[in-house]
Amino acid sequence: MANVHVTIDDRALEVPEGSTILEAARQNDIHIPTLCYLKELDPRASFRMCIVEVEGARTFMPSCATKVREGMVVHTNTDAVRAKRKLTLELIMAHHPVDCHHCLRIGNTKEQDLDLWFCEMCFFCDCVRDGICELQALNREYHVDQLPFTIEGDRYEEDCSLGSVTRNPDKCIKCRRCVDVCNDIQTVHNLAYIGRGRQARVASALDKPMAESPCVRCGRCVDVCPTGAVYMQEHIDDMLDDAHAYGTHTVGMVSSSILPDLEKLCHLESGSLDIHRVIAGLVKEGVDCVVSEEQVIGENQALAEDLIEQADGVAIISNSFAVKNFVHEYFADIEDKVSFYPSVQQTFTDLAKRKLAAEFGWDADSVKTVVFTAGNENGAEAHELGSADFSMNAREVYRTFKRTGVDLGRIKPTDALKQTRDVARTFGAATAPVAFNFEKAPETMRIAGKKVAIAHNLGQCRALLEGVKEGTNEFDVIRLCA
Amino acid sequence: MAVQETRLALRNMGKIDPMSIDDYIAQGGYEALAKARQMDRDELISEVENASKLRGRGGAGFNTGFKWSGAKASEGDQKFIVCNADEGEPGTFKDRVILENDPHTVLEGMLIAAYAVGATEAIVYCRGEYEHQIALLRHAVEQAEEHGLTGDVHMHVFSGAGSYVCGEETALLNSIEGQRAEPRLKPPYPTVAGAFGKPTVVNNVETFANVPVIVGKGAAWYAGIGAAEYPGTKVFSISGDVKNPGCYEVATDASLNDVIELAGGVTEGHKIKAVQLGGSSCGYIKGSELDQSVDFDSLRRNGKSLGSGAVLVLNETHNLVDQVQQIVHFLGHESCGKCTPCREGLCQAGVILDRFAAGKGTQADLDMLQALHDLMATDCFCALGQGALTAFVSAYEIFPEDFRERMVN
Repeated sequence: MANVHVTIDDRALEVPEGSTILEAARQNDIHIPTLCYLKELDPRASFRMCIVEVEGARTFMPSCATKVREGMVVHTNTDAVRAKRKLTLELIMAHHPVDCHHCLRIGNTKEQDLDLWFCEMCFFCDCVRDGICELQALNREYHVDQLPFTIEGDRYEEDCSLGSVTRNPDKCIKCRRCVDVCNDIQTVHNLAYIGRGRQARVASALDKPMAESPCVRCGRCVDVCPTGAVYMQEHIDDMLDDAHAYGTHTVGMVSSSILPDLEKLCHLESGSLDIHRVIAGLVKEGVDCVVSEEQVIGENQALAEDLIEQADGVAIISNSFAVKNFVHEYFADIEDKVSFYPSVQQTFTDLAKRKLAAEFGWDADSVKTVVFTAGNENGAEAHELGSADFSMNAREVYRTFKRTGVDLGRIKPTDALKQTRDVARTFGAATAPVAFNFEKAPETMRIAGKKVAIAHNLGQCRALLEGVKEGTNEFDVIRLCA
Repeated sequence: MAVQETRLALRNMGKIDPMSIDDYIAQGGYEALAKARQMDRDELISEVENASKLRGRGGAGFNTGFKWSGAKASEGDQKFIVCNADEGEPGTFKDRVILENDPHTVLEGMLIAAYAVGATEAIVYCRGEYEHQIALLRHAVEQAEEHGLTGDVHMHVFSGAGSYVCGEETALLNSIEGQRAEPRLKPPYPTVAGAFGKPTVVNNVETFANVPVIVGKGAAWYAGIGAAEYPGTKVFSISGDVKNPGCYEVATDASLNDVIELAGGVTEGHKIKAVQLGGSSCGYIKGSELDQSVDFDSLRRNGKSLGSGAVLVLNETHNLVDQVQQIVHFLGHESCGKCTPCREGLCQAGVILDRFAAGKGTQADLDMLQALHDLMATDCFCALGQGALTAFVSAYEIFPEDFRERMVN
């Protein structure tokens, strides 16, 4: 594609035609703050944080949604632009819970004070997003402090009805990432933006509590929320209680999916954190024995392998809790065609309660299982089906480390408990853990002469299941993940 | 003798039964459509675009024919003509008067536009509260179909559901599609991708009502009426402190004074303090400055706007703080809630103006209102937010004493 010439902040740049001002700026290390923007989703341009001055334009332009033109002159950081971004943030904060104001008033705007260890000393708000909140970071950047407005922070009830995915509308900044993920990517069509003016808010279907809504608990809304408006219930205290209690034996499983987030939280170089150091940290804080997901996955994959081999016709397999809910909600008529097998978490708990308990001479009832994973659906499954006692994400792990003095930068790696069972795996690539993505089309491959499709989100699941329903499916093996 | 009305859009008012297509036809109705269908489509558009210079009567003043040629040039297996009859601007009731007196002229205008751009779908999006007008329109569509006038064009009448922001054309298109009523990102513009992603022309009721006249009597004749760059007539909705509030249609070179004269002038024993011209997002004009032409461009040169042609006359008994307070609360209620500056800014502006209304304003409040205006004018997603505090800025500029009166000493 041809290039166009633009000037951004007095720098003459050559950028690909069709890119947005934001993309052009980011490619050239020019910082434009954003809040509703998420590169995988269509821009809404609703928060107005990324506005910039374009010479000749009547108004300021949202850089996320404005395409560059030949000869365009853009200013991203003038006094006027900064003042307006700050006022926008102040307007948002006037309708934000008071806890968050308190935090902002700490007064020090040094970058390091945003670090989670600071929050671990403060305890004032106990917001799940404290220290990793995008709004908080911007408030620091723009020195938002004393608000010139009437503050009305608490207007809504928190919706804890699911016990896992929880919504706090007061902390919502109406970026609608959760709505877009729920509708456009996951096609669950639960979350929606309702009402208008200052009554506008995100609600679940028919404005019912989450537990009575079609929510399938995939937890992708939690992943994209920039603030603490949608979050998973945390179990830091419960887990540490169990870990330290006499007569209770905690067994943990670590998934490598938490490593990237942990690295960010611990300021470690990307890719430098070894899972064995995390295991060492967990052992140090009192988890009695720890296995890694890789060592349990063999058992789990064997189950999937059996299903594929036994399948009569197309093998549709899934071990995802959210997929199970999704199929039940939207594809009840072909529910029996989908073979569900236990999640890795369930496999791990079975193993811990039977095999490990016997090995160590523990009473099976005294064993508590904890899963450390980035997958939010695990938390919901643990809560609803009891497939583990807790599921914790990277941030929770980080905070338990801070509380118990574990320093991942210094700790020596420990081996996980060996639980590997080597199984002949033909379809290993199709049954391994799958990472979520925002793509429209599923991943396809050919294994042992069979056409395999792997869905990385529920939208892809929907397309594949519709193919099955309408008889247009061309795959022999379908793996559904949420 | 003061200026007389020049009735084009309202030419059949009082002369015909709006329920009767025969009445309309007897007055020469649907002759323009027949004439248009004999014309070459490019020639027809050029007549409207270049010769008649018809400009949108909804408020933006955009060249109508230019929209048509844009939609005609756009690729699309299906094209839409949409009539914006979501008349929600406070103090504006001209579309209502046109629709309830002469629904067929609007349909005829739409059918001419449909022929010009090659559209097969025509939708009237009518304000939901206009139940009577919706019934009239539906009846008119049925009659036009029975008379075989619609040809291959499917006409629909679509009822709004009480949202002011649907007057914004992309929000209106969202509403037609069953989406949430909020404006879309532009580009793409409706003429490229509008209703259901198809090329779409959205014009105002009054704009369509003028089309049969232009085609029937010729663009040159039309261009000879009123101001040179904004020819034709404008229907004004006059309300407030005048003797005879109502709709008056005048040539666009009339002055604001003439328009108010037509409505009988200010009520006995009072004088005009200010006039709000154009609707709630527009500024005020001092009572002593009403001798200016009402055409779009000369008003714009004076920093005013014609808007939808609402004329709200206020006598000396009013304090503009109350006016501005009402406007901000109205717009705050009607804000779609999409962008932060509009949603939150109007809320806070409302709180501040409530303080003024209670006589407790401060200088800091005035500064904040000005700061909110500066923010919203540049940062808001659509015109609703961008113009929401224009009334405040204008009122404070012209009548600062009204605000001082309501401040704590």
